Amino acid sequence: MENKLAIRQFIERLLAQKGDRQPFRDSDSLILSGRLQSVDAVEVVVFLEEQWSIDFTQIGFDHNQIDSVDAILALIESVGASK
Amino acid sequence: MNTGLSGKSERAQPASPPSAQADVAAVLCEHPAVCDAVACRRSKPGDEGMVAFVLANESYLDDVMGRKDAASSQVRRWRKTYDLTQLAKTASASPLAFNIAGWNSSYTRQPLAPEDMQEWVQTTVDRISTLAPSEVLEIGCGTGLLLLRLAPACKRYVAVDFAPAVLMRLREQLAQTGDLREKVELLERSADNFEGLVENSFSTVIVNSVAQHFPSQAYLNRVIENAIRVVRPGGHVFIGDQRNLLLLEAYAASVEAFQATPEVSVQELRNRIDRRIQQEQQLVLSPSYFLLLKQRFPEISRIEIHPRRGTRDNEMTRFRFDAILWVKTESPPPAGIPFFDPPGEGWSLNDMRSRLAEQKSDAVGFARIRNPRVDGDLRLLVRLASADPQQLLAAMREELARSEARGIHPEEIVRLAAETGYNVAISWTACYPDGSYDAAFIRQDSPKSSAFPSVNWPQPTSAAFVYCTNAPGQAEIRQRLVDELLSHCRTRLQGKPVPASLRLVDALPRGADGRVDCQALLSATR
Repeated sequence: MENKLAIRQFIERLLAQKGDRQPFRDSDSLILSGRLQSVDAVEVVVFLEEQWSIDFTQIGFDHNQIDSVDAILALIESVGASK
Repeated sequence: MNTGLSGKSERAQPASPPSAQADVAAVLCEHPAVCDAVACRRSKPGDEGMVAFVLANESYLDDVMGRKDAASSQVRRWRKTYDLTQLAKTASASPLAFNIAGWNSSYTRQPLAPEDMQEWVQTTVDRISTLAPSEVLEIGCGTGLLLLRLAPACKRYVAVDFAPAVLMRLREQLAQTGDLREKVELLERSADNFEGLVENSFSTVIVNSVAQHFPSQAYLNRVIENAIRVVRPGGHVFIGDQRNLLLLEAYAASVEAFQATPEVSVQELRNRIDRRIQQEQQLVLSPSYFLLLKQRFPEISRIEIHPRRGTRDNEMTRFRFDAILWVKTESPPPAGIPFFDPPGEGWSLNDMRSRLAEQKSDAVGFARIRNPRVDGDLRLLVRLASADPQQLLAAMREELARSEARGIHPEEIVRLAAETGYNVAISWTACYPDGSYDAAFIRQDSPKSSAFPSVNWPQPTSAAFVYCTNAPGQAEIRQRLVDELLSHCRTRLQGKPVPASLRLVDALPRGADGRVDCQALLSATR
């Protein structure tokens, strides 16, 4: 629950920086839908690296892995990462 | 009539200046952020405010306004973006010399079709090969799409990229190529780092599909300045696959209309187009940017601006161009080719064929050929401007689908030339705002004929030089500077007229009399 809140807050902030204050569901596509661009995806990656020590050089990278809140939560769980 | 008084140029001082505008220009030029300024008065009834135009001091923007820090952060984000592309499974599974991971369509956000990328690579390699490169410096070599094709014919190839994961993939490919390893040197560094690269040591510097990731025009200027330094006399700087600022709105409309669902209204689509332009994260250049370089760098002997080659319909062929700079080269003077203006309904292939058949001299030019690659996007923009804001996109799409694209495809021009015994060169030098282009036909047996004939291309109007690039990610910094300069005017000109608005521009174009051309400045400013 704590993870989800942190992720949602981060994404809300990222979208707000782009003037996008529309609500989003946990399952909503964020990158493949175009609400976030590939350069914004970098911010998400850095956030995950810093907060959960996820090492993408080890697990590989695909935009699908971070395309929604649900996808990010599943990624954190799959690599057994913790804050 | 609009009058323009520059604050710093003596030539621009008229005999009896309108004092308010002169005062504003002079006060602005006192400010350390200003290189030059002019104040113009709008003379339209009902819109008589004064507008100030400012050439900003790039160092002030970088150091005082904090643009340098923002730029460093932007470069870091792009580096990470490219590194991430190479962590995808598609990157490691790529065939040799064709790693196109990360090349995604703006329309679908999915990878570009391999056929699009094959044509893109081949047309680029063909164009650069015509320059006969022997010692190459490639800035932003990526995964080696050009390097692995060009290097075999070169003596030396130095390739620079800022993304370590990208270079790692390239090293893996080079390991499979045998003798290429001996002449190719890979350097991990940013594009503006020329440390250790010796003056006059390269025949060709290639900056292909890279400058759009530079954080500012000032950064690009530095790269070009250094590129010119390391190119030996007679060499070239090839700055390829640049997005055309003149077509930025058409591009934004094209992408947003493609992505929108049918029930989106005209007003919503207009908003999305504006937002896309406002939030553009890449540096987008007008061809006029390159034409202005000639004033800045006298070492540039000649500049050619070519729309991208190719028959595939994609964002590269629609909206991008290649610029080639000839460095310290003794070029023949441009051939005095007569250019014909188009008939009222625009050029047709039959018109051109007839003209070529009647032609007595060995060269002829056709000006302002309408470009069907972008005709649909431009029609959409025109329609959006006049449509009922509540109209739905579905109805507009149907309406637009009924009209055929007007104009002649550049590749049809190339075919026509081959059929009629001519070589042809195609140019965007004239900076037509609708993507039209000029074509010069030169008989194949003429002494004027060559792969890159020196042509007296039609030149742009002064207005084309006012805005040469966008300023990605700088909206907040630039707005702060505008506010600071307007505040400076109000403080220094208490009780006197001050500008109603202020614009940061790339040039203050001048007329034949040396005075700043206010008409050009005002007409270029929406």
